[in-house]
Amino acid sequence: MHSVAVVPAFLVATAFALPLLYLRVRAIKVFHGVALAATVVALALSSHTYAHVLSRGAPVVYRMGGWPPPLGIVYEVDAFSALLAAYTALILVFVAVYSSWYLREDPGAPYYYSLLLGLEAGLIGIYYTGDAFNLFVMIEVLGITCYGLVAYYRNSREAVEAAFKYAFFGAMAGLLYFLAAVLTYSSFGNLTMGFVATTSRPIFRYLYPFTDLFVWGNVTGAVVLILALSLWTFTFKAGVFPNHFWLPDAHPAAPTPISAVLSGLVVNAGAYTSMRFLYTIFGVYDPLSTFYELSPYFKAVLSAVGAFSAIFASTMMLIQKDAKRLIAYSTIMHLGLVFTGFSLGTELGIRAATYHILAHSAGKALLFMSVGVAIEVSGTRRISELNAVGRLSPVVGASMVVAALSLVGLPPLGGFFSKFSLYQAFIEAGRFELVAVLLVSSGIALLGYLKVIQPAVFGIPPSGEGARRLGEWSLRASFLPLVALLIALNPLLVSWLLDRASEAVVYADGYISEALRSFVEYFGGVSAGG
Amino acid sequence: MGTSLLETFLLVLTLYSLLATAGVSIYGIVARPSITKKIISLTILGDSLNVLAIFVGFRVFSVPPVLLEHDTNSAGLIEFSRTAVDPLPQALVLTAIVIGLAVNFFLIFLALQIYRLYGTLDSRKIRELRG
Repeated sequence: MHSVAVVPAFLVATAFALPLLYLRVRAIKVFHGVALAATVVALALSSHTYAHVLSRGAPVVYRMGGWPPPLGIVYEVDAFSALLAAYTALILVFVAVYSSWYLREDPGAPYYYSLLLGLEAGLIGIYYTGDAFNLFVMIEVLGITCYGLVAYYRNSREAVEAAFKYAFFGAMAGLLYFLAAVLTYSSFGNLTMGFVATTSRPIFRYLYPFTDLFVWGNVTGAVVLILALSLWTFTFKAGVFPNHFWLPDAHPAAPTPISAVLSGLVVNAGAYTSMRFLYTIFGVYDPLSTFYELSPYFKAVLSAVGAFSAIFASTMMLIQKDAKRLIAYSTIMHLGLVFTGFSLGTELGIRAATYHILAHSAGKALLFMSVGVAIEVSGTRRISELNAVGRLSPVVGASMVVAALSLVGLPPLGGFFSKFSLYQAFIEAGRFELVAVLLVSSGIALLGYLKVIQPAVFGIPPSGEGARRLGEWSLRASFLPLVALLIALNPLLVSWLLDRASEAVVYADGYISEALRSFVEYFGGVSAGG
Repeated sequence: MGTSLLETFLLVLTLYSLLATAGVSIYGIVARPSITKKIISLTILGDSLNVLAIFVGFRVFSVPPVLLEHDTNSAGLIEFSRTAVDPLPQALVLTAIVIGLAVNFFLIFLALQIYRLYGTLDSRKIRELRG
C-alpha cells in the first residue's frame, strides 16, 4: 500500500468536497470537525510514509499511472522530504484546531478550509514530487491557495492590496520557474529529478550507460540560468531578501491561523526546493557533479543573501508598530539564517538548516497564534494597544513567552539547539562573519519580541466579551502540544532523524539509484513479461 | 534534410522576437503604474514564455508526433523520431495555460475589488491611500 500518492490526492478531494457539502449542510461546526479530521488523516498518512521511508533506509518511488520515471511523473520521497511533509501535517492539525476558535460561526469557513486543505496538498506535493514540472504545478497549487487565503477578508483594503501584490509577483515567479523547467527539459531531455541528477554526475553514466542518452553536450551555462531563475522563485516563496517585499504586507493581512501557516510552513517550501535543486538535482555542492565548479559562486551569493536578510529583517522588527508585521519580519530573519546554513555546503550546515526549519516552524506558528489571541481580544494590531491576555489566561501568556524565547534561542527550547548547531556549522566551515550575523540578529530580534511580549503578557488586562473566549478548550488544545513540541525538539530526541535527513540531501546516490531502479524494474518487467 | 539559410534566419528571428517580447512585458510589469496594464503585461510575459517552450520542441520539416502504424520496424521508428515534433513541451504549455487562466482570473477579481475599495487602479495612488 502506497500512502505516498494518497496524501495530496486525499487532501485535494476533501478540499473540493467541502464547498459541495456546504450546499447541503449549513452548520459551520460540521466544517470545523471535517477539516480537523482531514488534517489528522493527512498526518497519519504522511507519518506512515515517513516511517516507511525510514524503515526502508532508501527513498520510496511511486510511479503515477504506472509510467516509469523519465516518461511519467513520479513521487520520490526521501528521509528529508518525508520529514518536512510529516512535520507540516503535524503543525497543520494544531492550526486547524486554532482555526475553529478563530473563525467560530464565520459563514466563510467552508471556503476557508477548502483553501487550507488545498494549501496542505500543495505543500506536501512540493515535498513529495520527484518531477521538475510537477513541482511547478504544485508551486502554483500552493500559490493560488495562499493568495486566496490572504484575500480572505475581501472587503478589507489592506488584505486586497497585499493579496494583489503577493499574487501578481507570485504569478511572475511561477512563470520564471516554468522557464527554468523548460530549460531543464531542453538541456537534459527529461524532467525527472532523479534522472537530471544522474546526468549531472558523470560517474553514473559509466555505471548505467543508457543514461548517456539524455546528455546534450556541455550544459553548464544552461544550468547557471536554470538555477538563477528557479532560485528567484524559491527565494520569493521563502521570503528571503531581495524577494521579501511581499511578505510583511501579505502575512499580517491574512487571518491569524493563515499568518501562522504562511510564516511557519509555506516559507519552508522555498528553502526545501532550493536545497533539493542545489544539492540533489544539480549537485552544485557535490564533488562528483559536473557543476561542482559553480559552488564558490553559489556559496558566496546565498550566504550574503541570507546574512543580509537576517540583519535587515531583525533591524526592521524594532521599528514596527503592528504586532503581526513585526512577527512577519522575524520570519524573513529566520529564513535568512536557514539560507546561510545550507549555503555552506557541509553536512553539518544542512543538518543545522533542517533543524532550524523545524524549530522555527513550531515557534513561529505558536507565536503568531498566541499573539493572534491578544489581537483578537484587544481588537487592534497596534502593539501599544494590545491587552494583556497573559494575565487572564496563563496558557496563552506562557505560550507566547515560550515561542518568543525559542525563536530567540534560549535553552532548553528547540530554537536554542537549532541556533547552536548553526553556530557549530559556521565555526566548522570557518565562517566567523556568519557567527557574528547569527548573534547580532538574535540579539536585535530579542528586543523586537520583548516589544510585543511586554504589553501582551504584562500590560493592562482585557475586559468584556473578548476575555470570555480565552478559556475555550480549543486554545489549550492547539497551544500546549506546540509548547511540548518546542521542548521535544531536543538533540536527544531528534538527532537521529536529522542525521537521516541531512544524509539524504548531501549524498544523492540513494535518490539517484532508486529513480534508476524504478526505470530498470519497469523495463525488466516489460521484457520479461513479453 | 538540412535547414536552409532562410529557415535558420526565421527561427533565430522568432527566438529573438520572443525574448524581446518577454523583455518589453517585464518593462510593463515594473514601470507601468496602472494595475490593468500590469496584468496585461503579465499575460504577455506568460504567452511569450509558452511560445518559447513550444519553440524548444519545434523542428523544421516536422510531422505530427503520432505514430500511425503500430509495428516495431526500427528503421521507421528512427525516421519518425528524426522528423516528429517533440510533444512534451506542448503538454507542459497546455498545463501552464490552464494554470495561467486560473491565476489571471484571480488577479482580475482582485483588481476589481481594489477598484471598488480604493476607487482607482493607479498603483501610486493606492500606495498613498493605504498610507
